[in-house]
Amino acid sequence: MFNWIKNFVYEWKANRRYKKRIKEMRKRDPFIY
Amino acid sequence: MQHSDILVIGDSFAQRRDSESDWPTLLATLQSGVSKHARGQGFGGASWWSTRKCLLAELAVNVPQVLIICHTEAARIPSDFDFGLNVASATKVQVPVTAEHAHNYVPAIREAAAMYYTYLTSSDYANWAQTAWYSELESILTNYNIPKVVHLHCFPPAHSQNSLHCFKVGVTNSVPLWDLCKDIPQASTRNHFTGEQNIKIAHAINNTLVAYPQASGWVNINLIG
Repeated sequence: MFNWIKNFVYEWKANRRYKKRIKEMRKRDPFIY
Repeated sequence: MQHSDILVIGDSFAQRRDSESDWPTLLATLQSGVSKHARGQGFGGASWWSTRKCLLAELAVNVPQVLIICHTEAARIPSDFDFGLNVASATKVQVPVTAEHAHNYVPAIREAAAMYYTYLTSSDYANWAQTAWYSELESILTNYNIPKVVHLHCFPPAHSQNSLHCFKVGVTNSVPLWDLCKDIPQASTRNHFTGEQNIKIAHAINNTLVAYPQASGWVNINLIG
């Protein structure tokens, strides 16, 4: 149970970090083509 | 000057050239007096790798007298097929698909690109690789001795503490094209600019070529007036 919570939090943090990175990259390179 | 002596390459900022008022074509017309599509290609959404391949292929055909090169965003995915898979086209839900971007019909390709940008991309590596390309480009330009070269940066540097690269060979425009077009609604633009701005850009670059500086370095081309 403890491991499951630990993994869930880790994954949630990682996804938040990735989403933030995508958002920043889109600001730098906003055009589709 | 022959029409084939003017080479215009880059990304989507140099892509549209089938209309005589598109800046690459109009510039070639102003320089050569011949009205037809400008030599070279702009690869919409694609990496600098596509520009590099195009430049080397064109140089193998003949060496131009004038080279205009648009330098794109560093983090785009290099592709042997010139896929326009940048972060926006890979991760946005609604992406218009044109014949030249038919790869976006293939869900696996888009998904792979989205996964790459989400989990694998390295901003520092991308900047390092693009800087290495700039160094190689300077060697290429020195070796081929192209008389007039204009570098146009399309986007600001990836990190605010970095500065735009000033090329040792040719003149480098000091203002990124993105700064000039970021407030323009993109729906009906060509090369990310309005028709009128395309004409101004062609004339502004033409003026720079007419009064081409002796020394390499920064220039501030008044592109859209």
